[in-house]
Amino acid sequence: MPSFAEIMSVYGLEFGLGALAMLLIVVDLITGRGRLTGPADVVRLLALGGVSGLLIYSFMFLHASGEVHAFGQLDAFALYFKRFFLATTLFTLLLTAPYEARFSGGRAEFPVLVLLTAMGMCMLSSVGDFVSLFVGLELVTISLFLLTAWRPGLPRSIEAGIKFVIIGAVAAAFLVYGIAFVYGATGALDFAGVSAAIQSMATMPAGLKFGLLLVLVGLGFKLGAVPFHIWIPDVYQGAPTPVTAFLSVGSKAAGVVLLMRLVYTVLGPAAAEWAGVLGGLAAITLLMGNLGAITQTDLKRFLGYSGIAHAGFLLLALAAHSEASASSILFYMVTYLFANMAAFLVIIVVSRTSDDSHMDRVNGLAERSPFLAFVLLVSMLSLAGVPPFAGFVAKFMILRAAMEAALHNPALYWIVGLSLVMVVVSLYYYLCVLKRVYFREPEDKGVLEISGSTKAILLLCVIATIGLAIFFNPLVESANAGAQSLMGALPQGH
Amino acid sequence: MNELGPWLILFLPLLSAALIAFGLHRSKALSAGLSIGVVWVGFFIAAGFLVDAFSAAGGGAHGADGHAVAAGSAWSIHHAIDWISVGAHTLQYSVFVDGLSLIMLMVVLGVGGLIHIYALGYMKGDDGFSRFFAYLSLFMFSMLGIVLSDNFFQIFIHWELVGVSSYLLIGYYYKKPSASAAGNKAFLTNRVGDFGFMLGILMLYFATGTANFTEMGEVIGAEGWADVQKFSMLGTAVTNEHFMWVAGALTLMGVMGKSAQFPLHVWLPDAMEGPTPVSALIHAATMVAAGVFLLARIFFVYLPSDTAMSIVAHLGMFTAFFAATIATTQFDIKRILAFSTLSQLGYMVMAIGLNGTDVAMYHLTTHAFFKALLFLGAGSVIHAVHTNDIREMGGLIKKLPITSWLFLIGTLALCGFPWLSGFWSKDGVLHLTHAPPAYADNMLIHWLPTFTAVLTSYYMFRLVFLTFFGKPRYHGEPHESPPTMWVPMAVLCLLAVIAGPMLFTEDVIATFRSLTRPAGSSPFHHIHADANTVIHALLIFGVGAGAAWVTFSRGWVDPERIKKALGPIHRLFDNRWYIDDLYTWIVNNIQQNFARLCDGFDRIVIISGLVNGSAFTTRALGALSARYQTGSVRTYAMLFVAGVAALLALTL
Amino acid sequence: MTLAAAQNSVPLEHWLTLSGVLFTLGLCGVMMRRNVILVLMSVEIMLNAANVALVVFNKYLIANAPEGVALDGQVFVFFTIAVAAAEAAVALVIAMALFRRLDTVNVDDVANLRW
Repeated sequence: MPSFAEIMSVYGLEFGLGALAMLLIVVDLITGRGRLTGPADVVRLLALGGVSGLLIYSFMFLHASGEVHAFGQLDAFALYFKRFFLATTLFTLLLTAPYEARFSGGRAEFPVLVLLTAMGMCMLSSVGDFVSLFVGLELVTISLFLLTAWRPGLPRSIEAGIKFVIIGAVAAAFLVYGIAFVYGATGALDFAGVSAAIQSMATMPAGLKFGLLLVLVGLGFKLGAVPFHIWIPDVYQGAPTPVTAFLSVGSKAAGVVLLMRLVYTVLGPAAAEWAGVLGGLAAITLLMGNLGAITQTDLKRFLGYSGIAHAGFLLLALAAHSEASASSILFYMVTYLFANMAAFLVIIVVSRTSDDSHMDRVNGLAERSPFLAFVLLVSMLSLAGVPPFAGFVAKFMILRAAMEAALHNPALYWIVGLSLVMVVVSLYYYLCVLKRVYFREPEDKGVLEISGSTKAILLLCVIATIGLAIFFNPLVESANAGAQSLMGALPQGH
Repeated sequence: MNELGPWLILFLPLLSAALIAFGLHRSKALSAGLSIGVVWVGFFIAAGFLVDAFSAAGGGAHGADGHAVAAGSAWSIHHAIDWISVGAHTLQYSVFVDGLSLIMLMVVLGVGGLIHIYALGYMKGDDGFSRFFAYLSLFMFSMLGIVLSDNFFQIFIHWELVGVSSYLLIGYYYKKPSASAAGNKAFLTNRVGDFGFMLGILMLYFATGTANFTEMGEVIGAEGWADVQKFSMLGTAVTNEHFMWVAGALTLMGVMGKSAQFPLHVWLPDAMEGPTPVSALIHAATMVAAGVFLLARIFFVYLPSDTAMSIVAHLGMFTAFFAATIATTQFDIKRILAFSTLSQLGYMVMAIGLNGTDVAMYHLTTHAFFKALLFLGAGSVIHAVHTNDIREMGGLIKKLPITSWLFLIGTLALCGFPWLSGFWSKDGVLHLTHAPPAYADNMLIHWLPTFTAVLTSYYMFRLVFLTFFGKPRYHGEPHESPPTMWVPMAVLCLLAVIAGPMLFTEDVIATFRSLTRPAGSSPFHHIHADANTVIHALLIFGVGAGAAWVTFSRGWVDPERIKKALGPIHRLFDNRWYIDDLYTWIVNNIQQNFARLCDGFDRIVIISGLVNGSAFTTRALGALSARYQTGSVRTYAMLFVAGVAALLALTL
Repeated sequence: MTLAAAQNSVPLEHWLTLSGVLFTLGLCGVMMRRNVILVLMSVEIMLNAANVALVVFNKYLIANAPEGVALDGQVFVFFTIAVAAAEAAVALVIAMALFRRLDTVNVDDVANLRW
């Protein structure tokens, strides 16, 4: 039995998040339910403070360790993603502030659920067995079901919730069914045991492959890989905008972190024969995501397709399967975080009066608020991968890693070629948005007032997006450390 | 302070530009105050370094014989951070303060600081007041990056940033078509130079395996041109003298673009469309001097080859003469000063070519003082009479006494009137030309620069007589400028007067020169203000100024008759040697026809065929590929399951 | 009856077939049912199919290597049951919201978000 201290050394942050969530509930109870403004503000501030505290704590006091426990590990990879998830959570809470006036109720509970989701996400970066994987993943998914349907007065929010629940539950069923077969074939549920069993086999039995494929389905659902992306456009469009932002970054990253853990450590050397599957998924995801985005007229739905396209890039990096490609994924996620959060915050501001996210809302934005227009410009160009923005560096790193891997696996050249074509396509649709921003006549000529805090968050995103394109070394180094720990920690059985 | 100082100098202006752009711009006072403040903070930090450097180098300045000083100085500050590392190559971002960059820092920050203050008065009431100061701060950041860089890549980045910020500043009055056209011209001409510069940098990098100046200097210094081959990317067959020839020539293009050397000089006169403080800052004191500074910095590249040094010297010599001849025929006050700047830059480049880097840097420093003064004076005049044409001025000394006298003193300094700063620096250059190194020893080098100096006196006094003396030809009622404008001018004037032995004693000048002379340059000979030199200088001054006096003040000689007498030569000068026309002709006839051909191809094949075709195809595909998203969750479930089935079928 | 005997009495393949049939039934239910409650029940059937597989695999593993195999597969089942309960609760909340706001439990009635 692991001691409490041992568990805390790995899951300390998760306990912190859980405790914080409990505290928020208690505070909400004490300060009096029913009133709309006071307690909710207290709760939100507490949540913000707590998450910032944990983020700072993770940077100052948490150190990666090479120790692999039966219940999980806190290697550099896990730590990198925990910080990433905390940052994502922080941004989500910050994005909620200008949005929550639209909630009809449950303003105090909203941060509680966000924190629980974050707890699941952080847990997923450390998990060492399929049981925790399943529980953590469902903690994330189920909380997100609720968050998606957080505006029961709004038909599109409910519709998104229903669709998310049904497809999500089906994906979960596939995942458990897959895990059952992996268990049956290897006799183990912990990653170390499964990995050891796989390495002892000359060829994978069909049952094991079947199981692993179904696990891939379950995780591909989170990541937004085609054809398991089907829920993404509708849910992104219908969910409250902060939740969409959370989904697009956090939930996707949860899929990424698990896929990486499985591909790099559980499959280990056997991953080479999975490059084809991952590469194929990458190709079709790139294709469908980018093509689907072209004709969109709703900003959130558009960003959903764009997110699918980005998942294609991540899958390409996974297929390349090298330390460099792992590191590039880690870097990519951070650039994606800043660009996406900025875009969603802009959407929140421009949809303030109309409460919908049709692309017409950004028409002539440059006239109404040059600052917001500039933020959207930086965000879109970074997502498109145009220098001198962080997205360019990230795409460049992935493509470089893929080209290196293509020396051993020539099929990757085709996918790299396709991805380059798709980058051009993506440039087209991102520029279409910017064309509205700069050249269309606004429907409402009024100047958009932005609060100081919103401005500060956006400015932070812009600075990070440009800064990471110039001073990317520190982040690349910590991504490299994460990738190294992921590659190095091939579990050696018990 | 040594740790943090250089970083502060470099990044405070950037911070200022960012703060103004993102919020402070609403308050004009705050924007201007911040922008001016950061420059002066930087100046005082740099002044602290200067004290350090002089006390460190002071001991070495008294060489054994008291005249020749040990080359180079041990004093320097160097901090570098790893910026980008790709494989084995690490690109550093650094601050490097040695004697050379310290002098340049003082010039850029000191003169720049005064010009910032001047701009406070000059730009008063302009709508884009804050925008202007943001641009100025951005420019300062770009420029300081060049000065503080220790490697080629960083310098190139800031080189481009300088290009961008000067584009913004020249085109500041963007609603005026000629201003934005001038901005474009400056930018494009610089692009030509920078393209060569970039190729040159890459070639030097391949040849020596490093972009760091010190390391590259060691490699080239030790190996000479013939044997530079440290880098494995190129075999022995390529890295030889020819390779270095091309690399050196291409790198020189960067210098020619920024310092407006012939034949890439065409942008500088047009750039006078910008606000006058910009002309003073960019086109007198800093940006154009960047080329000279760079040349001094990478002096070691050319040093091993006598022929290369000789080419640099002749290039400078020709530019000096060429620009001076044009200046004699112009009527736009700022353009005359612009051509004068070209001419003086030519002197500096020539001095470097004659192995006199320290002399060039000294001339750069004094020139920054008096040319900035002249530009600010011109700005003050323009401010008062609202025209640039000297034919519509005259007699202004009664209306603008302060400006006029300051301008006059600046002119005297520029003409090398004895014991003013220009006398010491220009005479240093002329001294070099009278006893040039063997590789450039010919009649032209001996006498053309001296003749150019005569021309300088002539065109400057032509300007002075037409502007400040004689009958008033201006319209309206000119007023003297406010103190925010003339006080900086007075400070610059003071510097222009005393930047000789009065400010710089023999010891200080010796130290200054030891600081600015790179390792490898020949021992330096002092200027002696003996009777010979003074008479020589007075003669040059007297002939030029006298001719102007006779023609434009007394009217004994009719300028029209000179024009007629000179005939085609005058037309040549007046039309700027037809260089601009040549470029226009090339652009109109050759480039346009080629462009038409490309355009046709572009329209027919690319646009209608590929672009529109692929855009249509893409949109159609896009419309199709989102079609399956029917909205029905049952369809989604079916598609999901179909996806799983397909995955299983294809994989198992 | 010993474990081995139980194992022998019904071969693994039969159990897996049962599980597969259950899973497919659930899947078909999800795809064909219009009533959201029934869709959710179908999902529960899929999860239970997985549970059957887990339990059977565990028993099968024990029978093959009785000395050192834990009951982890069967323990997992408790987790899936708990998680499925939570999921069902949340799903029903959303279904209720659907009924209240749009007065329907038919999933085909909510198809406004598309393309």
